[in-house]
Amino acid sequence: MNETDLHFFIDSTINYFEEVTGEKALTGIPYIKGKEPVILEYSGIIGISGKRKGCVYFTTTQAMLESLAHEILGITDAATETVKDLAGELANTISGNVREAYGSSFMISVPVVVEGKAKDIRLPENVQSFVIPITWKDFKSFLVVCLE
Amino acid sequence: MNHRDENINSTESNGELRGVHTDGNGSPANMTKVILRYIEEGAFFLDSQFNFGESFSAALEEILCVKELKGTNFLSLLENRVPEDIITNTREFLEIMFRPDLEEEEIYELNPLAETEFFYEDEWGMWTSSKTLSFRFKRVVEGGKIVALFSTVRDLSEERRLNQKLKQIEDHTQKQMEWLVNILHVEPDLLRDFFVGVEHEMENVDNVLKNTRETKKYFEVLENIYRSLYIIKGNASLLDLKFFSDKASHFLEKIVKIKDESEIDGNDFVPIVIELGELRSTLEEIKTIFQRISQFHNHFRAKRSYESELLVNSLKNLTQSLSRQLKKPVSFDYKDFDALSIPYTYRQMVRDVLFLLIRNALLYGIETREERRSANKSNIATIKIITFTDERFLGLVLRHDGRIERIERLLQKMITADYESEEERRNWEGISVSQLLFMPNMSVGDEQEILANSAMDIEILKRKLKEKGGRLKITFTSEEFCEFIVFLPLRA
Repeated sequence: MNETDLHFFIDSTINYFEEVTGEKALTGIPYIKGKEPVILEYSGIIGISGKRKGCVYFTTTQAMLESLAHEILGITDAATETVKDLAGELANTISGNVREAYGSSFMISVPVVVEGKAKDIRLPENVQSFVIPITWKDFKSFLVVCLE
Repeated sequence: MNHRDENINSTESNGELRGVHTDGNGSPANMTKVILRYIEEGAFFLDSQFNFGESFSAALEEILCVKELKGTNFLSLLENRVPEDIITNTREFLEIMFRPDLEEEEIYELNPLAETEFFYEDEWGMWTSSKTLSFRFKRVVEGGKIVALFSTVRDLSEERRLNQKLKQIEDHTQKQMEWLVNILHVEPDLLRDFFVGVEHEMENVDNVLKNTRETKKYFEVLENIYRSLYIIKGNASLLDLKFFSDKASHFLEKIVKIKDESEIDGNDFVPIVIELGELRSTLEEIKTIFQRISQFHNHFRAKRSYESELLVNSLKNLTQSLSRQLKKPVSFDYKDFDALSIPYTYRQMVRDVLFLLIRNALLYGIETREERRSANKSNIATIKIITFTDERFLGLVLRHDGRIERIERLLQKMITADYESEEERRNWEGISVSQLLFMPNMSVGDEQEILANSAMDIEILKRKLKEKGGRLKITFTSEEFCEFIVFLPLRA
């Protein structure tokens, strides 16, 4: 995993917020994921295979997704399904960008949305995972990238 | 159901399979089924629509890890198991295989599935396992027409896994050999201490990266990481682990580059976290090499007295090597240094503290030969280290007969500086000379870099002592000598 890869995933995520809501998200200081779980209430997970293998997930809070629903859909009381759909859409956007950039020699999975605080997301072993804190409108979330 | 496939039997002649039609009761078709039941390879027929025929080998489903293959489209089978570009190429290849105007031998090399990785999803839809499979395709010709393709598939996973492992070993061997040669000269205990020290500093970097939330503290974070890397580099140099100190230097350069920017955000830390990942991998690899050789070393485990001797020797080596580099002749006096009085838990700490003080003395305190001559001092400077203990403290003394250049310059600044405000003048006047030593990154004019580095050493020393509840006392005259006394509590 190199700087360009990591920047690419970060930019894809940050651009989503700016394009969809007009408000820029902020990147926090990235760090290497240890054994402690990095998981919030909703997580959109994308698997990557082919020439390079790995996994990327975006995990966030219900509050952030509700606020996002308000910005995009104009609704104040988003149903659980809507919130879940948004988590999927966010992951899907990242996935789409990755697919576009990495070309057809890579396999990008359809995002899987996990609801609720799971113990952790299982990531490929022996590959370093990087955690990038993302803040949008004071809501915290994390982008986790694990790519060999 | 595809009758054509069901009734195909095949024999090979001139590299081409000739189909044998039967009416369904004839022995050749039955024979095909019998053969397919017993062969261990995957074997199957594809019709012109690329669908699986009824006959395929019993091993096929197991090799492909797919059930109910009959009638399945081969290209659909590939979806979500191999990358899109391979599926596209396979479609084109199979279409060409059915074109009678092209010779089979000519297109054989175009087979995109000659060796390919098949990925398998888990219950989450993630590809967690894979197999390396090799497909071969042959035309089945009947009455001069290509009526089907006969394909065999072999599972090469184990073979490829071993090949990959071998390649990895080959790729790593040269690098690891270099590292091995580099660490062989270092005593195992020193190396163990080095690992502990590096891990401690890397943990510090991890914690700082993880726990900083406020954007305005980003430059502070950089300083903190810089200090840790500086210690790692210093410790690696002390043991002459060149490849590791080079890596740390490279890392430090990246930090300096970021520090030079007027504004930084989280994105600027990406190179740092990548470098950190690489440094960690390197450390893990060296530890693995070390573990392999340490079994051998354990048979010849050193006595405590020998370990103490090693500590003195490493400090002596550092002094001599810096003395040569800086062309400042130095005599290293350690007759009053009793390494055996240092508790095991403080060994690394004492090494780090003395390393910093020796380095600081040689770089910033001890004068050049010419300067010493003009100051009527002996050409050869002296660095003396001493240990002493009482009930509560372990004491370390480092005394050198150089001057404290930094203090001189700062005093000069105090005397001659053109203060910007009355407040600044009052601030300077209120500062004691000892305090000046501990002001981080305090600098004057063109000596900025030297002083910043010197301040960095002292900052690191301060941090290390604070961690252990230790303290530092300094006695000096501007020309004659400088003495650092470090107190480390013997009971926590």
